[in-house]
Amino acid sequence: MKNNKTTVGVQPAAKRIKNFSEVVLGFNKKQAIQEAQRCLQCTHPECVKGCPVGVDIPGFIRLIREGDLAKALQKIREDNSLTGICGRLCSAPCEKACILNKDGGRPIAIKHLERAVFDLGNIRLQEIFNAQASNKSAKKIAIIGSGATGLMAAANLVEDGHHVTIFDALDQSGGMLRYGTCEFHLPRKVLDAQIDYVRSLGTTFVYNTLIGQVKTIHELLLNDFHAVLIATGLGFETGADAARRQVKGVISSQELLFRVNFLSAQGPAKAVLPPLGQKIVITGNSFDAMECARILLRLGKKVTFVHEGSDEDLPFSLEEKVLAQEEGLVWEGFAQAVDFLPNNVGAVKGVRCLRLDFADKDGEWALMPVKDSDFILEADAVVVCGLYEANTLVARSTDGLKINKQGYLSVKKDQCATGVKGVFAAGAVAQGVLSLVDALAQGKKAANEIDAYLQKG
Amino acid sequence: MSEFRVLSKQIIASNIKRMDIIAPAIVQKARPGQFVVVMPTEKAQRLALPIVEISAQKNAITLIFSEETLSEKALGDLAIGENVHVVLGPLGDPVLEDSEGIVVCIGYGLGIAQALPLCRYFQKKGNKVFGILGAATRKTLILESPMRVACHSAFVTTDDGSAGKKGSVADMLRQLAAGHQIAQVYVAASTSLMQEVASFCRESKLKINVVVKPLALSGIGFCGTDEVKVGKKYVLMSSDGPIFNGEFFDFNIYRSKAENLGV
Repeated sequence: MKNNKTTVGVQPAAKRIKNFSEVVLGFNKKQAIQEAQRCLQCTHPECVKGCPVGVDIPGFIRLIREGDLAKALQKIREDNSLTGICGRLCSAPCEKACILNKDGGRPIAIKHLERAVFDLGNIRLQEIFNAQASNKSAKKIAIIGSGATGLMAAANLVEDGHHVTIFDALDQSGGMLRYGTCEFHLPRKVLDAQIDYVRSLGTTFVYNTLIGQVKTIHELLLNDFHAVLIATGLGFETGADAARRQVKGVISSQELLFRVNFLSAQGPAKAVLPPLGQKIVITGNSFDAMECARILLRLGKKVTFVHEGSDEDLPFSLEEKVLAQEEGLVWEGFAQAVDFLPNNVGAVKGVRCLRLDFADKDGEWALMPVKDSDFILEADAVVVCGLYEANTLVARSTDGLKINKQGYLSVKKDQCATGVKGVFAAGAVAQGVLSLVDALAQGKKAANEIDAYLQKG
Repeated sequence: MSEFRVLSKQIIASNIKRMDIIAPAIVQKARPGQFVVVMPTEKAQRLALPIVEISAQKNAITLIFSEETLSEKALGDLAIGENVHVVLGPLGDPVLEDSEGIVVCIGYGLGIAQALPLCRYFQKKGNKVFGILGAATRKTLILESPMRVACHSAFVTTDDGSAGKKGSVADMLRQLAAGHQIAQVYVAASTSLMQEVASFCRESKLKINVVVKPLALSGIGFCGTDEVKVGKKYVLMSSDGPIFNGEFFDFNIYRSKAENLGV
C-alpha cells in the first residue's frame, strides 16, 4: 500500500489567471485508483460519521479500487445525488474525520475521489431513469428554490416515488450554485449535467415564477400539491454595513457575483459591471470572499483581501487561500477595515485599516486592535462580502409562517416542518449560512420528513 | 407559466414605446403600482419596468418604456408574436393609502405611465383625482387621453410650453394646493423633481408619496442593488417598493443606486 497522498493537478497560476476554466483538474482513473488504495477500509469508519449526507465512503472507495467507477457512482448516489457538485465544492468534513488525518498524516482525498467518480464514471442517465420510473405514488410536492437544498430534496423525493415540481424565480436553476459560484469552481456543464440528472429522474422545473406573488403557498396546497418545501436560500441583508456602503465605488459581493455568474450570457469575462477601476479591496470574513477575489483577479484587477482573523478562522478552505495568492491576491491578515475613505467627489479612494493581535479581553484571549497601527490601502473600489440573511420573502404571503429571532424561517426543533401543515423549510432559509454539504444534508433530511408525512397522510 | 409573448406594440411618443405582453400568471395577481423585471432576450440585461395596465381580457400587461439602453432597444425590437425571454413579477408591495378627499397624481415624462394606474385606482375608490402631466415638450408627452379619462381634472405642463402651460409640475401643484384641500400627493418623476415636490409638500404639510422608477437586478432580493432608505429603515424595492413615504425617502441613496444600475 502506498502512503503518499496522490497529488491532484491544477492549472498553472500564470495560465489560469487568464481564463475562467476549472482550476483543479481532478484525478485521472489511474490516480483515483492509486489514491483509493491508500484507504484503510476501517471497520468503524470515522469519515462516514463526519459526512453530513452519510455517504458510504469506504464502499465507493472499494469500488474505485476495483476499477469500477460506474458502480462507485451508483453507490454514492444512494446517498448523494449531486456527486459532481459535492466533489468540487464540499468542505470535506469527511477528510477531517479520516483516521489518516490524525497525528499529522494525510487523509484520503475523498472529495477528489468523489469528483473523479462523477467525471469518469458517469453512466447513461436513461438507465437511472428507467430504474426510477416505477413505483410512482400519487403525491405531489412543490419545492420553492432550485439551489443545493431544493435539488437534493427533489432527487430524494422522486427516488421515494413522488412527483416533484421545482419553482424558481429565475430563468435557470441552481440558485447559489449558479449565481454564487464561478465557472472556475463549478463548470456550468457539470452543474447543468447535475440538474439534468435531477430532471431525468422525473422532476419538473418551472421557471420565472415567484411563489408568494403569482401563487401563494396556500394556493399550491389547495389546488395541486400535497406538501411544499421552502428552500429559498439566502437573500440580501438590508441595512447591513449601510453607512460605509454609501461611498461611491463600494459594491456588495452579491451584486458582483450575480452580474458575473448569472447575467453574463457572453461569459464571465464580458460581464457588465459598474466602473471598478484597477485597485480593489475586499472586506468581510465570508465564504464568498475568495470567489469575488478570484473573479476580479481574472478580470485583470489588483486585489487585496483584508482578513480579520488567522488562518484558523477562514470561512473557505486554506487551499482556496493558497490558490488565490498564487494568482496574485495580496493578503492583509490580522487586519480590520475600519473606514472607506472618499475622495473630493465622494468616490472611494482608500480603506483605512487597523492591525489586530491577540490580547487579553476580560480574561479571554481575543483579537484586538493594535494601538496606532492604522494603515491605508489605496482602492478604486471596495467589495463588501457576507451581507446575507435568510430569504424569507415568501413568508409575507403565507399566514402561519413565522420568522425566528435569528431572522430564519421558523421550523420545529430539529425538524423541517413549519407551523403550517404540509409546509416544510430547509437549507439556509431555515438555518442561515450553510456549507454546501450541510445544505445538501438539509435537502435530504427534508425529503425524508416529507416522505414520512405523506406516508402518514 | 413561463411563456411570455408580445401581443401588440406601438410608438406613443418620440423614442417611447408601449408594449402589451401576454403574461397570464402576472395578470391574475398584479396590483396598481407593481413592476416587473424583463429580459427581452437571453443575452440582454435585466430591466425593471412598471406595470402600466393589466388586461384580464387579453391576459396581458402593458409596459411603456423609452429606447435608450441596449436592453430597452432589444425589447422595442421584439416583433408582435415573439417571445420575451423573462418577465418576472409582479414585484414590489405598493401601499396605496385610502383617504377621503382630493388625491393629486403627478407624472413627468415616463413617470406618467406610473401615475396612470394610481389615478385609476383612486378614481375607482371614489376620490376626486387631479392629474398633473409634465413633459419636456409636446413630442414626449404621453398618455394624455387616458389620464384625462382617469382624472376628474388633468393639467398639462411642458418645459417649453409646446403643450399645456409652460412650467413645471411642481408649480402646477403649488397652484392647486393654494385653491384646494388636498388629502395626498403621489409623484412619479425625475429624482430632482420628486425632491422638489416632496420638499414643497413637507412645508405645506401635505401627505406625499414618491413613486420611484423601479430598480432591480435579480428581482428576488439577492443582489441588494434595489436597496433604498426610508427614514431609518433600509428596504428592498423588489419587495417593498416602488411607492414610498416622500417625507422620509432618502433621495441621495436612491440617486446613487440608480446611477450604479445605469437607470
